Amino acid sequence: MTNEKLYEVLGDINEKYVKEAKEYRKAKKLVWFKWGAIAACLCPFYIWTDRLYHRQFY
Amino acid sequence: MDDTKIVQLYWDRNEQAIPATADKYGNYCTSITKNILGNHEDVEECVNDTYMNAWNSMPPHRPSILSAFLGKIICNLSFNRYKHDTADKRGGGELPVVLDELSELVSGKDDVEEEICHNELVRSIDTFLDNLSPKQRSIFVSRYWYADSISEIAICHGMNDSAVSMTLSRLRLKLHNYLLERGFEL
Repeated sequence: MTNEKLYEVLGDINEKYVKEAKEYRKAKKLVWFKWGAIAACLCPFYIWTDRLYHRQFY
Repeated sequence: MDDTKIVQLYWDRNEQAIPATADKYGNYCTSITKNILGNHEDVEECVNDTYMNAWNSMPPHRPSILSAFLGKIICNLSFNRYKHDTADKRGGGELPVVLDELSELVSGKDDVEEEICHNELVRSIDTFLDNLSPKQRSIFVSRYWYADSISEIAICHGMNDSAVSMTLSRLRLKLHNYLLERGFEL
């Protein structure tokens, strides 16, 4: 059997497993969203500390 | 929109079925075809062809899991396009690496008899998958059905890349032995 044939066979597996894996794939977006949200929250803090630093030393 | 309502739109021959599908599953379909073909102009064409195939298949089909039904259509279309593109020496996405990994399980010889055992092989792989933990199964399906990259799978499953590679390697070996024990000549 060739690898391409095996890939085609794997394409016919039960749909419930495909759906199950889709749920895990969704989690990826949530992880990125979480880190995006954390970064957005830290931005004002960074600007504030940066200004404070400049005010103290310049 | 609920999947049953989208499927009903197809059955009613209502053209709103296609924008409704694109709205809900456009990104899903695009991500699958991008994994297989990489980033090039064929991606959009494959996604549009998927909607057309869905339009032509419903009726008579009434899929119980619309996402998997669309996923299967786009996988087939993208894989056919991939084979055509490879013949033209144009690049692919993650698929060449996935196929390379699958080479470890098979002899590489093209056999006519294998057509007969296609359904039997699918059933055995289903049983194999059924015996795995949901996480292992999802890792396997993400790689060999969705053609997701190792790093994408790692992010989704809260693992590092090497742990995913190791898991996949063990699963391939396990599947190989499982199929050989059941008399499949790979």
